[in-house]
Amino acid sequence: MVQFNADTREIAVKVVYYGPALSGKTTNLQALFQKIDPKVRGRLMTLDTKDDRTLFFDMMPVFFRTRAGVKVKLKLYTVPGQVMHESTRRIVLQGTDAVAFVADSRRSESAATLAYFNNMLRNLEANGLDHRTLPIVIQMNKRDLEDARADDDHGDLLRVIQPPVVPAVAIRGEGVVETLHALLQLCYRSLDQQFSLAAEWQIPEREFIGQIFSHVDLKGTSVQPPEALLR
Amino acid sequence: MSAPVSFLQQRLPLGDLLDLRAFADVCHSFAELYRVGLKVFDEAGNKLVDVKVGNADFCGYIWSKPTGREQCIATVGRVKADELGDEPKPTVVDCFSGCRYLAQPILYEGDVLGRVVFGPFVPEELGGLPPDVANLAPDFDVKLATAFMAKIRRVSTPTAEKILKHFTDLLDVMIFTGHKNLIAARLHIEAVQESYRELQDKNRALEDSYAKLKELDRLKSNFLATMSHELRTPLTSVIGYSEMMLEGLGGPLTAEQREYLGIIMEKGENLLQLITSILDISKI
Repeated sequence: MVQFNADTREIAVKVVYYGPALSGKTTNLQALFQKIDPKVRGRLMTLDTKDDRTLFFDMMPVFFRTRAGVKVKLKLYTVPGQVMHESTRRIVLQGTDAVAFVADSRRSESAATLAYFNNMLRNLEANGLDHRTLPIVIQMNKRDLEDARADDDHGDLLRVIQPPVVPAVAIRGEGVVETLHALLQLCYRSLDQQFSLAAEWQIPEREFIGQIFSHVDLKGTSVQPPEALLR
Repeated sequence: MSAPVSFLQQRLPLGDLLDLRAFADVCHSFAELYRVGLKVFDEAGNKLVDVKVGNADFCGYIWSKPTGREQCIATVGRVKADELGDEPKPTVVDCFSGCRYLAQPILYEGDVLGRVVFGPFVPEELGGLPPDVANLAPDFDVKLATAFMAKIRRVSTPTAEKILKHFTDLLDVMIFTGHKNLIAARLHIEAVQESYRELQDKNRALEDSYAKLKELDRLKSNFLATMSHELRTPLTSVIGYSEMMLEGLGGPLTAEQREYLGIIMEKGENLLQLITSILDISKI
């Protein structure tokens, strides 16, 4: 759950990258780390990696101050993909405000991906989060691989809920910014609906999105330049 | 909003992120190397580290004069409490004595966790003791004070800023490492607790089914005992009357009737044995 601190005028938002092992969650965060201006982000914290695989999670903070003087802190997390880390996954998922599901597009991974997606829906429920209202974006990652499914072949993941789907090749940084952008847009709207960000905190959507993406390298992405967003 | 804040999202005080004893050691060696004092405060204004280098005699002498003490307290108050903003930039705080401090906020993840106060040092451009200091008291010994001041490092403000930047860079790494270790440890604990909770739930479920099975077993035994008892009673009559007939108590019998009755008795005995053994089993 988003944290509001009226005394210090701070808002802390939690975004989690969820997905099966080796689907590219950490790669997403690493690509964002490269693309986001160090002035508005902290270090990328990677906990206990062994053989290039995340055992616990990664975390990267992004922060900015709005024109109305509100400090917004956005923390991006990944969860460990391996099945054995179920409890860590649940802990990291606690109180999340938005979820990006990173899926491996390869046909050979379809069954595992679907199982994992359903596992996420269950875990969300176990954490008291309603997947019908929680902002969720699916990223179809690894679009460059030979065995990748067709562009519109992800119906199996849309049976319960129908979140936006963003194609990506995270290892090349493609689609990573688009995923975050789509997710934060949904996230803003959900928070605004619940907590009147625009009316009570004087943070309009354009500023929320613009403040973040004006500090992101948008070269080669389809995200609108923030000058247009901030104007 | 009623859910407790996950430890991952909690904001931690500086003192929890650093091993204060080890941190003090680092500060001491740093201050020794550059021969400039160093103070570190947390957000609430608690002093975590205080290293004095070279200024003890000078400041002590100023402190010994009542007017000097007053002004000294004012300077200390300013370095501790002056608004520094939330940019990683140093603010110059000048002491009336001519010495200088640099104060800089400690930033982590965009939060101000405290401040570093670097100094006092003597700015390179300072000629001699400012006139205000010389007139602090009628008995003020300018020569002595100047000699004491010479023990404080003389450095240009840009150089001091560079040294301070070096320190805040180091501090940033220390805070990051501390935060990382803290989160790893807490996550271990939480994961273990979570697994323990899961095991407990499973144990409870097992205990419940065990209790249910025990009750079922009891009901089954009761059923068998009652049933075999109820079956035995009529069977006793069947066997008893057959026996009576065979003994001729009901009148003479033909050879065929005798044979039939013999079979009824024999089978009746068999059945009785079976029922008795069921009863024995149910007793087990």
